[in-house]
Amino acid sequence: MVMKVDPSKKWTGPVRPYDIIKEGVIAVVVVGLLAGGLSLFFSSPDEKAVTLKSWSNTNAPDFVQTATGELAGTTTSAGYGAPYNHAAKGPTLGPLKLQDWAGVRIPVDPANSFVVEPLLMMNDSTASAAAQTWKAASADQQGKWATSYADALGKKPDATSLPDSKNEFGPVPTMVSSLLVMAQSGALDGALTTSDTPLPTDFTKPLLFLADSEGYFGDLAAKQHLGGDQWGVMNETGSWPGQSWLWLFSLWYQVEPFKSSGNADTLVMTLMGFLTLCLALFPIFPFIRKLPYRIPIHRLIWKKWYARKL
Amino acid sequence: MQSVLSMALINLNHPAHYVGIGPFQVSVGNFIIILSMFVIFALAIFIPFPHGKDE
Repeated sequence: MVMKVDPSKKWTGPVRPYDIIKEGVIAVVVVGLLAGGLSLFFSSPDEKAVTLKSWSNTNAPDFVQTATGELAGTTTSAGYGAPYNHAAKGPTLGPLKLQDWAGVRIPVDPANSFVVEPLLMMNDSTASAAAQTWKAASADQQGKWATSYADALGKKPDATSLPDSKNEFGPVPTMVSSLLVMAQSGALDGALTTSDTPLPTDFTKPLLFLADSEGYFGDLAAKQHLGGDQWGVMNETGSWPGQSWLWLFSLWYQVEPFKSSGNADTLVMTLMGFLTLCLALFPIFPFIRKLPYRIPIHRLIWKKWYARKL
Repeated sequence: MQSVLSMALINLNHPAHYVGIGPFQVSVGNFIIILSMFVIFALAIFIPFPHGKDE
């Protein structure tokens, strides 16, 4: 039975005192004590930052292959599309090209931004000359050099440099080797974080470059169970609890058709939007709105009231 | 001294353990938090307010 209430009439049922200030103060004090106490016992995650320096020193061959891939235009960021470039349309929702329509707002040309421009800033005449040779060549020639070197490195996955006996790699080996030296010293991190701003606050470029790594960055994430297919959205580094409230977002990435879809982000966000709308419209669904009568948890919460009514 | 003070009484800075069935997987840390939420919800329902009385 649905109880109809006339909003113009004053409530004549039972009332109880309620002090919102008192409740707010108690909540802040209790949560503050809990947070302080638990941090004393468990501390908090303090993972060392992943940088281009740590990458190049830990897995130099992977760094070299990725840098060559940036020159060849074969990395993820080179083919990402908006907001960095026009290389792809990105995720869509039916006819809606959501990513593409958002536009290129943070232009990044990986070959120039991650490799050529830092080398020109480097105080090394050999590196600068190689970068100038690269810039002076046609796009077709650049592609041939970089692709040939990428193919050669692919056959020797542990190499950080290869000789150019047939003269097919152009300035690429010198450029990539110089970039490796720059990265291992930490100078490349500084160069990329300050290329667009005077203060090192913009991590877009180093993060994109790191994310292009196939043998380092992804492995670090997988070891910490932070990958999308490992419920990573919910997890924290180490053994600390993570964002368990994101379980429903995370769930969809573990099951088909989302799991294998290249459009998973758009599909999951759309589905979650729809489910959130359903939650908001809870009172208008005929069967759903009767659930509290079938599962009367509210009677437990307001047990005194229902006991009095009976 | 600094390192002693910065050390937590319980060290969680090590690889996590995971439990789960099929595609469902949850870290032990998250599992404990989720169970704790259910326990606190149950306690909130069944433990009476200290001076709670309806008027």
